[in-house]
Amino acid sequence: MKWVMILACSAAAACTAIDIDLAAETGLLYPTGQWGKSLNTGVDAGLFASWIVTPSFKAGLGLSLSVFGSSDQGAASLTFLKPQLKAGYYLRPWGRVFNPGVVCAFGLSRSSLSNSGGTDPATWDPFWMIGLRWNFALGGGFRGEIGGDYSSIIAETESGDVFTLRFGIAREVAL
Amino acid sequence: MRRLAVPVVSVLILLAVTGCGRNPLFFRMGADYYPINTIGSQWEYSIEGGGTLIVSVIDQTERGERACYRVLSGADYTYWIASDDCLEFYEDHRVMFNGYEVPLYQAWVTWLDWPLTAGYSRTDSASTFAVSQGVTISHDWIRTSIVLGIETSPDGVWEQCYHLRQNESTINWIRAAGFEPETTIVQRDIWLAPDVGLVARVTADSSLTLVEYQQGN
Repeated sequence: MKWVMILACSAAAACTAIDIDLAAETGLLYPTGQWGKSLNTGVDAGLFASWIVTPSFKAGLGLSLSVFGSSDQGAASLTFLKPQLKAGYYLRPWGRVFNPGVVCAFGLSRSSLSNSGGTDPATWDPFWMIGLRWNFALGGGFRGEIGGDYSSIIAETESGDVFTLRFGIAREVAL
Repeated sequence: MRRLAVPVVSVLILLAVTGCGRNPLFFRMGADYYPINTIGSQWEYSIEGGGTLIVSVIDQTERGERACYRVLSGADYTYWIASDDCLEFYEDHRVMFNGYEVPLYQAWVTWLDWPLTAGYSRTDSASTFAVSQGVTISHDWIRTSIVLGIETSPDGVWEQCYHLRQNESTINWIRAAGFEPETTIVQRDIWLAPDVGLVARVTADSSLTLVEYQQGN
């Protein structure tokens, strides 16, 4: 709840006098490392609001939710809830077809594991993410984006590393 | 926006550094809580009241038309299949009748599903019968496994153990004059340690504690 309020306040403040980029993203998550041995490919969805500092650089806040299921179609599920700060730098912001960029994020992840009626204690851990993007115009003021991320949840004893195939859609709003 | 960014970043960094509700979830998920799939692995247990029990993974064999690991536990063989999703055990239920050993139930049954969680539960059961020397013997079996929590082992040596409680009930009934249903109820408390396996087991009439573990090659 605390994070929702922070994000709401941030978005409200951001919307008063600046250009912002509103984005919705989804993705396919592939766990790397032993921690994901019992899990299947995950899915992810997130909402982000970024301040367009310059045409090339934007930074903002977001919230994403990721879900993994067990690899044997069983009852296990793992969820990540990630409030985060995110920044991106794009090389050709004017490019309609090819606007490559790099993004990074930092925040906290709430990880929760459930299986067969049981739930392990949830853990709050810091995480970082870095990724590459191919941004392009979709028309009607919208821009699309595809790319790949590598992220790591810095948990105790062992980190949770994930590779993500990312798809997104964004619209710049001038206020 | 700049005025807002500073406190937001500060809060995130503060929470990241101090942490809140942190625990090694990914370590537990990546660990093998029953490493039965390495030939040569050996567990030595001390038995309360005296004696030791040696458990070792002997080889791979075939049982019930499936490849599995054969484990020597004391003088008995047990059979296991380990995968990333679950651990399976070959249930081999027999009864002695008139000097003959009568097989009642043989099947691969999931022992645990991975990953374990606090509060996890599963129940397996079988109801069957066999005919021996013209007499029907019925067999009803049920086993419930519940993870009570994440604990340190009773001897204080192993951390991040899943404390598992199994209740197993068996009713064998020789359907002939003079025989009554024979009921056996067993409750086991088991502690499974990451990358070690069973480190303690307590039942009403015995208590095992791991004293040495050697991983096979």
